[in-house]
This record gives sequence, structure tokens and C-alpha cells, in this order.
Amino acid sequence: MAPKEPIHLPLRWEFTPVQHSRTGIVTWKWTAYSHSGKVEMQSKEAFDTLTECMNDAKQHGYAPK
Amino acid sequence: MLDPRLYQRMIEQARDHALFILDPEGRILSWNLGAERLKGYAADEIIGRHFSVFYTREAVDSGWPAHELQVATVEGHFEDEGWRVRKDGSRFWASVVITALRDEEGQLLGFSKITRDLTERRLHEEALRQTEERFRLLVESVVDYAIYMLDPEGIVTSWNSGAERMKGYRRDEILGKLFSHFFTQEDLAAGKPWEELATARRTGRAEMEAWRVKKNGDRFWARVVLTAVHDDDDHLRGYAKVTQDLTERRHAQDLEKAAKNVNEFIAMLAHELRNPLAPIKMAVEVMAKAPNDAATCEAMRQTIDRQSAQLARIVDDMIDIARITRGSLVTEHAPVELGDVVRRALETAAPAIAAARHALEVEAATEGLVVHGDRDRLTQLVANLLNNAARYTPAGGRIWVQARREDGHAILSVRDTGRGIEPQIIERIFDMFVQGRSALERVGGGLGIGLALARRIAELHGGTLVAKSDGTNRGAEFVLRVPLSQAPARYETSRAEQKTAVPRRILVVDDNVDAATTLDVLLRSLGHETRVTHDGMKALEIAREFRPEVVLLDIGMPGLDGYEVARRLRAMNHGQTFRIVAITGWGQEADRMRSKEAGFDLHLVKPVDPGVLVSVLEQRNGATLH
Repeated sequence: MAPKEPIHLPLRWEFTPVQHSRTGIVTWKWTAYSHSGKVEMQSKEAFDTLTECMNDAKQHGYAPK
Repeated sequence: MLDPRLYQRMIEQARDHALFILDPEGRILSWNLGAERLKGYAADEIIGRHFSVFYTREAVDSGWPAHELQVATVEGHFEDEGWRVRKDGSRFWASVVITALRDEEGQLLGFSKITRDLTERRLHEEALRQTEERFRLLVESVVDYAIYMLDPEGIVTSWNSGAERMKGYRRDEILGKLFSHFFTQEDLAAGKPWEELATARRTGRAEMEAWRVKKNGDRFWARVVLTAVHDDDDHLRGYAKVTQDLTERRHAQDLEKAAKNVNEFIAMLAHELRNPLAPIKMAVEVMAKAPNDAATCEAMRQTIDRQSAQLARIVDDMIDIARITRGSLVTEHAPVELGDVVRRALETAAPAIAAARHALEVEAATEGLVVHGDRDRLTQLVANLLNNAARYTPAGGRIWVQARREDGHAILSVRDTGRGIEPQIIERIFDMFVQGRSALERVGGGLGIGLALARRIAELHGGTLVAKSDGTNRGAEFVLRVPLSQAPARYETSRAEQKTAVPRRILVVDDNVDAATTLDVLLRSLGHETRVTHDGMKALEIAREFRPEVVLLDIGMPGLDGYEVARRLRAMNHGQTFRIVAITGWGQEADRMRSKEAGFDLHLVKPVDPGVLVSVLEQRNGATLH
């Protein structure tokens, strides 16, 4: 799902490594949950590093203005 | 009706009691066998004499016999215990009962007197009293131990000179007070005093070593033995408490432990220094062999950059160790948004978390959680906790970061699924140089002072940092608690955003040729005009002609040292303002003070971060960062 408007904390942000079974390469994705545990947003692509993943999450409300 | 002669015979023949009759004036009218045995007089020797003959001279002189009769006359009877005198002059301890005898009209006929010899009981009591007195004096004279009694509720009921010396309370100050006065706030909060009493009551004895508090607030390390005291009927009468001051022994043990920790630290430091040095050396060799291979050189440059950053972190750690040890770790205080701190710390720790492929959850209602503190130090604190979690959690684990508001405080928790902490070392992990848990892999390196530093930073913010763990392989949680601020947070513009490129004339003075050369290359790559020298005298000559706007000056140089060069440069006064910046390996507060006094505007410690250097060169006026 494509986030349209930035949302703000408080939310639960999860950064998860995903290891690809064939190549063994690890990529990162993020998911933002509401208080009730419902998935509010998630990253549209996988990132090579956690830092890149966090930077992308910032674009969607993870970081302060 | 019983024959009155039987009564008379009973009285006459009673052996263990002196039974006789006095007339109203106290003269003896009758005498029995018991009286003869007890007092040594035959009936014909004593009848008709005044009963005061049985009293000591002091008692007679004070009018005591007449007093006894007077009381008996008024009240009907008189009871007393006291010394009496036998015919042979020897004394015995007597129990005396005198009863007034009256006829039907109430007319006083005389007195009956019953006397028993209680000398043996008296001597036994006296012996017991003397024993108790000797014991009391013994306890009282002990100065190396605090020995005192508590009642069943823990109220102090006795106090010896050792207790006064050890704890500082005089007897009159502490008698009647609860013994919990001697406990630390932490132990009081944990209910330790009542736990000790309960243990002694249940098992008869409680023994422990712990910190105790003197009247003046000082702490001392005490060995305490608390013994329940019961009476013959097994009723609890109170507790005997013996306390020994073992502070000196504790200090000796602490010193021994510290020495061991320092030795381990030095070994670890050597290991940590070798780790980045090896790839740097290797990269330099590779670059020497393939100078024209741009891709290889770039890869090696990145290696050197990463590894030298690691070396810089080790040096930073060592500086922080020195600051903690001296108690000179200082923090700036301004309103800081905790959310900002958390996210900066996560960015810092991201490489360590990513390297171990840990999943990360951030549940932080941090907006509006503003604390009054030092953003950089708080970030360092949280990053240390995160790096710690990453390091001590097996690959593929999970780390949670949670922040919330509670009772006017910001609470930040960093939890992991890692190797956990054994209960017996959970407090020791905050000690300097202690590696409480063996690292699975040394992600991010460092000197293992992270938790000691983190707790110190928490304390400098008026907060606390505590560790929790259910034990080995059960994960760990670190909880930071700091007071919330009412003021809104301030955001800083990053240094990168402040930068503007202004070419300057810069004189580099360093006897280390490599250091001077690399600095020169960096400065020229930034567009500055430079001159380089490795000698103090030469620096003064160049300065006259070159007229630098900035002098980057090493301090520890042979011949003319940096301090002297700075003083002479200031004295030259060539009509143009210029800044002198120390770039030195000496980073103590005393070194900074000395450089300031010598005329330096700024004191930077090697290795200098290029970003910081750029920022410094952009500043036009005045001294900062000193």
C-alpha cells in the first residue's frame, strides 16, 4: 500500500531483515503499526541497509520534522 | 475448736522463720526456735530487749526500726528486705513482715514480726548482678564493634561506645529510635530492615554484609549479625545486634578488583587497537602495489576511513574513561526531544544492529517527551544501550525500543532477546572495565565502558539507568528514567548545513611529517592556501611573510613547543587578526587550560574529524570549543 500523507508517532515501527533464500542477501523493510496492532503502512521496496530503510521510514513520519 | 496450745507449739517449733511478738514500743515479748537459729540469741537473752538490736548501726542511726513500727501502726503491716545483724555480729539478708496486733476496740497490743533469711537468694542475685555488670562493662568498653539491643519492633534499647564511634549517634540520640536509621535509602525502599528482623525471628539469626549509613550520611561497609533473644518461656524479647565496620577491607577488595579489571582492560585495549590497525596497514600496502587501480584505491580508502573512525571511537572512549574517573564528565543542558535522541541513537547503532540481522521495533510515544539535558550525551547513552543489545544478542534476534511518559518522567526501555544477565552480576555490569557478558561478536568494537558511561550520563541528568534480566539466555532490558522538562525542545541545524566554502591562508605546524602532510592535502582539497612546517622557529618565520588567517599548531614538538610558538605568534601582532588552533594528542582539561593561557583560540584533539575542522575554518571570529 502506498502511503499518501506522513503519519506521526506514537506508532510502532518495525524494521525487519529479510534474507533471500537463493542469494543469501539480506535486505530490510519497515512496517508501521497502529496502537491496536493494525498495519498502517509498510515500505514499498526492500533496502540494502537498515540505515536506508530508516531513511525511507522517515519520509513517512518516522523521523521528527 | 482447735486447741490454742497447738498454735503456740507450731510457732515455737517453726525452724525456718523467726516468729516473735513485740510490745507497742518494740520490745521483744516472745521468741521461737527459728528466731534462735536465725539470730543466734536464746530466748532468755533477748526477751525484753528492743528489736532494734537486730539492725545495723546505720539503720538504727537513721531511725529505721521506729519507722517500721510507725508504718505498721498506721497501715496495719510493714514489709521490707534489708540487712540484719546476728548476735555474733554477722549480717544476713532478711525478709521482714511486721503486723500490728489490736484488740476488738482497736487498741494496739503490739506487733508480730516474721523474719526469713534470704541471704542465699540475695548472694545469688548479687552474683548475677555483678556478672551482668561485668558483661555490660565489657560490651560498653568494646570500641571496634557496635553492640546494641533492639526490642521486638526494632527499636534501639541499648548502645555501646563502639556503636557511638562507628555510627556517630550518642546514646541519648538513638535510644528509642528505629534501627532502620542505619540503612541506605535503597535498602529502606527494598524493605531490608524488616526482612532482616523477619529472618532473625524465623531462624534465630540473620547475618549479612551491606552498606550502612552513619549519622553524618557517610556510608560504611558493615558486617552485621542479628540474633533473636528469647526468654525462658521462648517469648521474643528482642534482638542482639553486632556490627563490624569492614570499609577498609572492602576498599582493599575493590582496589584488587579494580587492578584486575584494569589489567583486563589493557589487554582488551591492545586487542581493540590491533583490530583496526591491521586492515589499515594492509590497505596501505595494497594501495602501494596498485596505485593506478582507482577502484581498488577507493575500496582501500573506504577501509582506512572506516577503521580510522574505529580508532577515533577508541580514543573517545578513553577520554570518557578519564572523565568518569576524575568525575569531570560534564553535560550541557537544554530542552531535548527524546524522540530526536532515540532516532539519532538508532542511526548510530544501525550498523551494529544490521550486522547481526536483528529485527528492530520502535514503539515510542516520544513526541512531547522533552527532557532537560545534553542531546549528544543522551544520544550516546541510548546508542550504547542499543549497541550493547546488538552485541549480546545472537544473530537474528529482536530489539525493542519503547519510550513513554510516567509520573513526570520520560521512561526509555531497550530490550533484547539476547544472552541475558546472571542475577549476581546485574549491578556489576555498570562498573568500569567490567565485561559482564562475553560478547558474541565485537560489533562496533569499543572498550566496554558503555554501560558505566551510560549510567553516569543518566545520573548527570538527574535520572537512573537500571538493568533487568530473567537470567542467562532470557534477554535483558535496560530502563532509563529521566525527569521531563516543561520547556519546548530546541533543534540544531546540522553542521553540514552551516558550511560555506571560504578559502583561507592556513599555516600547518606539526613535527609529525605524515600528520602535517595529510592535513595539508585535506586543506588544499578544500580550496585553502597552505604552508607547512615541522619546526616551531620556522613557523614564526613563515608566519611573518605568509600572514596566515589560521594556524593549525601541534603542541608537543621538540625545540620550540606549541605553547611557546603560540605566545610568540601573539607577540608578533602583524596587524591582522588570526586564529591559532591547537591540534594535539593532549586532551585533558589541564591541557586545554594551558593552551588557552598560551594564546590558542581553540583546542582540538587528534584525530580531528574533518567535518569539525571544516566547521572551525568557516568560523570567522572568536574562540569556541575551548
